[in-house]
Amino acid sequence: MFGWNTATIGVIMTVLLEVRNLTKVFSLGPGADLVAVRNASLTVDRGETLGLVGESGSGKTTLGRCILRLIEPTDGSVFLSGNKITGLKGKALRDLRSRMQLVFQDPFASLNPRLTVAQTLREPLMLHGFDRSQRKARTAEILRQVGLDQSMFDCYPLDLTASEQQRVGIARALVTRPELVVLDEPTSMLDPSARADLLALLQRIQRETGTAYVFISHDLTSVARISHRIAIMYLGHIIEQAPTELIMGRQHHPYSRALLSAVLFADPRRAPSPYVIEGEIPTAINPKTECPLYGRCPIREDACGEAVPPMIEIRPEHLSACRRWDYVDAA
Amino acid sequence: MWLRISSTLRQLPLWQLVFLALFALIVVLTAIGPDLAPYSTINACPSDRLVPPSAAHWLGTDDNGIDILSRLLAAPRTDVVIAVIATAISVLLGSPLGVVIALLESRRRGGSTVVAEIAMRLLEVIQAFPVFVFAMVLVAVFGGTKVNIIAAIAFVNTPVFVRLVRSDVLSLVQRPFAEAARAVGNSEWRVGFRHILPNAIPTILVQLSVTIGFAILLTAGLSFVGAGVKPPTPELGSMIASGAKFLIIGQWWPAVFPGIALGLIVFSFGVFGEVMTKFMEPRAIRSATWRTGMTTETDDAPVIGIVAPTTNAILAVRDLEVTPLQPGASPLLSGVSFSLGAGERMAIVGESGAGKSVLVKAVLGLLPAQLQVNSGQVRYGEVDLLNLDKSKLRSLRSKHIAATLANAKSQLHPLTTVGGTFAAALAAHQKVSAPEARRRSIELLRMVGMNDPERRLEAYPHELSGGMAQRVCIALALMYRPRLLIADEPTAGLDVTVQRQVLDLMEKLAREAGTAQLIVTSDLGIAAHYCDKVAVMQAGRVIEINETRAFFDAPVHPYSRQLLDSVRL
Amino acid sequence: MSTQLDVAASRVLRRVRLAHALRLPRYIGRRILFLVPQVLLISFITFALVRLLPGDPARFQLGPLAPEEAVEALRRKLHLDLSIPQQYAIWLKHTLSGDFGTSWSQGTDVGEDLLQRIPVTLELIFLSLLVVFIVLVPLAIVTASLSRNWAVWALRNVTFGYGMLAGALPDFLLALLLIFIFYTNLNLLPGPEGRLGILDTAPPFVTGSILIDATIAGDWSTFWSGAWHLVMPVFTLAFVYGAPVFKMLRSQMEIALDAEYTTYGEALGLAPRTILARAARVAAGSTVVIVGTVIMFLLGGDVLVESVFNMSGLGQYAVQAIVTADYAPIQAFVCFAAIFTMLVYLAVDLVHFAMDPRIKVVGSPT
Repeated sequence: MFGWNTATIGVIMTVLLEVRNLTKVFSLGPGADLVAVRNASLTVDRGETLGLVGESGSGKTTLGRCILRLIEPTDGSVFLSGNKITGLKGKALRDLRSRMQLVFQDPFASLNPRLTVAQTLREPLMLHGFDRSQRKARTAEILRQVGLDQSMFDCYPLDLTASEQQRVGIARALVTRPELVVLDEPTSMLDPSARADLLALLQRIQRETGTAYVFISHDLTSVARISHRIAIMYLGHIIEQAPTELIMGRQHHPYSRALLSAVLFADPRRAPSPYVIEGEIPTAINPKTECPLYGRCPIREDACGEAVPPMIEIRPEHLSACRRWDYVDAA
Repeated sequence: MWLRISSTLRQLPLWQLVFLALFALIVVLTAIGPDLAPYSTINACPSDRLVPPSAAHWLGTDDNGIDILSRLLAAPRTDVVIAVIATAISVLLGSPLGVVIALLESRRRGGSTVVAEIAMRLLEVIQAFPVFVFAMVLVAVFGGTKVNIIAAIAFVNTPVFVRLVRSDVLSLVQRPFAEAARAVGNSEWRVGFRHILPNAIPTILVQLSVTIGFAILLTAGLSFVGAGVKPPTPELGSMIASGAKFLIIGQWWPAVFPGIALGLIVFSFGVFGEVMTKFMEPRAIRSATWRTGMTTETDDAPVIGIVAPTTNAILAVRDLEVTPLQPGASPLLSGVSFSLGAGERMAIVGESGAGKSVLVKAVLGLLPAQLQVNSGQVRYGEVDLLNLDKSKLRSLRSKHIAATLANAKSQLHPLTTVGGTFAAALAAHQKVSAPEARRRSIELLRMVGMNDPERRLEAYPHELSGGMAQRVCIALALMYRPRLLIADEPTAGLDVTVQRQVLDLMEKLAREAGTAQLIVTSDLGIAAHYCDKVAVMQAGRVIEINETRAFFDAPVHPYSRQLLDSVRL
Repeated sequence: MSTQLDVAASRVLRRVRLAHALRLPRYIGRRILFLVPQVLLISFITFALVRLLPGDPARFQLGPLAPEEAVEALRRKLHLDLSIPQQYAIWLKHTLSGDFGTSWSQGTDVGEDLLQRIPVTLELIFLSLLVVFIVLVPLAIVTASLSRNWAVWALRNVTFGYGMLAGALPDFLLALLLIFIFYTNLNLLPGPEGRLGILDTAPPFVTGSILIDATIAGDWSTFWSGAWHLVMPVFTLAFVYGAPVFKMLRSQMEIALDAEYTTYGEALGLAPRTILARAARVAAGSTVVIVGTVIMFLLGGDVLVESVFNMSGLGQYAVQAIVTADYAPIQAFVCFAAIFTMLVYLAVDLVHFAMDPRIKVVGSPT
């Protein structure tokens, strides 16, 4: 468990979301346990964006769902504004939903094809006790805020482009003025130009409303653009966490370094870095007690294969799960 | 609403419209049929027994002397009303039950799944009874009144709807919008009934029309053996039954006319069901116009920055135009021209809908049946690909022109192992024995960097990761060292670290074999580092072609500039 | 590095495959275990329902003129004075020891009747399925392809309405029409006189199927007579009940031919025949499920066809029994039909599982 050191009390006041030692295990049958998320801990401050980066199998999607309690964590706890939300059930849990929401990856599939935009936006308000005039006003306001025209109220999802559908999804998430929105790969199914527009929109909304985001993506460049802090996941573990500029500048985990070096910039002059690790991500079924990167790591030593390395605070706000974090550049 | 109805009707072929009209007629007959009958439908008239079709009796009379036409006008009411009410009961009972069972099953918690499983086993018990005999027994036990017949048919058909709705709900509950409904704060029951069930309605409707047809046949069948509606009520099955004995000796009309009527009624219901499905499909009410927020000035201005066409081009495309078969539809590709020299690598970039995949399919000669090449030329060296004989084209494939299409895992045949696919690909072009094929496959897998190739040969596509599947496709593409490789989105869906490996691999192998590459992608990063030339497509046109460096340094067309701006950090 | 990874992955793969292999016998065992209470439940429900049929069997047997004491005595002998669960227990005891009771309307032993009639029904169903597989299945596969071949095009037009048409046609009507056309008018085929003509003698009983028994006895004239008598019933059943199979197979073929792996196969240069075969393998999955349903329908539908053609099969037997409130045969028929259906369901699930490596749990939602 990493320790807070400086100005702990002051920091806690601004902490919106705290996840402590969250673990999620799926049982696939006798003797086969899929450890999707293992011992994940993170915090998100009010009004800031935490980027959650990882490739397929990293557990980032599962972690996002566990935070929202759409999937039940096997172990660990989640706190929203200091209140523990991992124990809630029934109506209390449903009421919680007005405070934390989710934006999905597939813009079209996340909308009920039989409901109009107006109906989709109204539903959260109806479920959380807003009256008719409040609903009318709020839906009009949110539609404007996401940059859509009032004429779209009576459209069905099929009438809209992917970018517009995603804006509706974002509007639906924001309509009850949540404190936290988890966005699960919101731009990966959009074209590059639409992607840029949507990121700009999200940033603008954050400035206007102070909503905090957990931005989940495999695309490091999008994440870097919008996040204040980044957490990188691999095989269910959070392996590095730091403010964006720090991670983008210099990485202290071999996997983070590999991820960054794998990015192909749209500029022939910025040649891709040659440091890329080989092989593919191993299975998360019945994992061994070792560093998750052990099989592919270029700087591993024997101690790495004997136990899961703990999160080390390299400097304030910068955590790494690599024993040899200061040798990452040297390989 | 009326807009939807009229637009659906307009799309229907003539014969469906005819039967739809017949369906309407049957509905009318159900309501007022007996009142239209020219003669009495139940009073016997022994002197007029078995009169063949004539002016007085258009369809003849039966063995009681009753006019058949009159009975036919009155009979639909009996059959249709019984069938419709029975089916309605089945649907109204079965659908909610199906939803409940599916929701219990998807909870994945011990108690609920046990309940669901028991429910399904009970249903199996009911469905195990041979339908017809069971209905007969029910009717025989409880009496042959219309109400009992309806109850029997409803009982027998309810499990069908329970199963159908259950299976539909189980698959719908996985879809993101169901999860979204839960995320928004709906209880799981509300999600099931308010969001999922309405989306299962199209499936229910199709089954509804099938079941009504089946129920009509069941009613008629029961009456045929004397276990259903009893005479003298006009009913098609019993009419056929009483006519049957005369059919065999040549007096065909008492049995045939009711038979034809029965068939027509059931068929019309079937058509109605199909039309309803089409109507219920969620469709765009207004067409989604191209609103990407980018300039769409696609005029006929000459393509900017075209590099001089290489002589001895491996691939030369001139003014290619591809349109859908329907007349008046706008083209998917127009005026596309570019050329690729030996060993050159060219990227075709553009957003989705620009026509990149259509271009790939057109060059390969694999356009789907609804599209056609209107004009233009595609030459592979000296060979005119568009007008080439089918078998010659096939022999060019893989050996000279190879391709990998988007999404490796779905390209591979799901029921064939990797080894099987390799064997098929090898056998397509040469005679090769099984051990030889295996040896070559292992060699090829090693070439693309897969360890433990022997084991990989036994794997099915769904057991491979995206990266592995793509390596298999690369092996298949480059196995004959073709002169041209066309790769459509080779890294789509792959993890970032795997992408680099795959791209480096393709690059290395192609360079060794001297293969020219045409890479279609929406990722400008790939274009920047793995290609010598870049062609930008928009709305079916190539709007700019240039050498990579020159392109990225100074894009000319406004669209190219917007594209680059949006991906730069 | 990668070797370690791959080895680990393969190990898991092997273990998962082993788990699948072990699951199968366990699953079959569980299904059969469920089968027992299900069949018991079915037999009990039938028993109770059948006992509710109107009429007093004792009275029926002895006739309206028989004295009351005789009827009473018979009623006691038939255990009709006991409660239904008690009667059921007695029936169960007898059945498990092979005694299926007596048909009071025919006076015959139900067990023997079953022995004679089940082969007839099975023969009809089997031959109908054979026709479906030999004619309809290839037709569905071939007409699904969009080849410009003129023969395919002609076949497509001919089969266009078949699916919907056959679904709308009642089987008993088709049977009657066929009799009318081919017997009454054209005199090409024998009429609805049963399995053999009036003047033919049945071959010695070995299996109960005339075709097989005649072959065994070497009696060719009887063989051909039996065959001719089977033409119309088999055609009726195949035509009407082959339609769902045809429809499903063709639409699945069209989906498969439209899929990415077909385009990719063409890009690899595979021959058209190979591509068709690969598509057919995928289409077969859902078709197998439909075949199971159709077999069940055949069991039900052949009841009417047997009656029209007088085939003396199990279906006709059941219909007569219901109409005359004859308990024992109805009981026996329903039990047989139910067990048969359950086994068909199980077989279909297993075949589907064996054919498709993607299915992880046998009997996934149909």
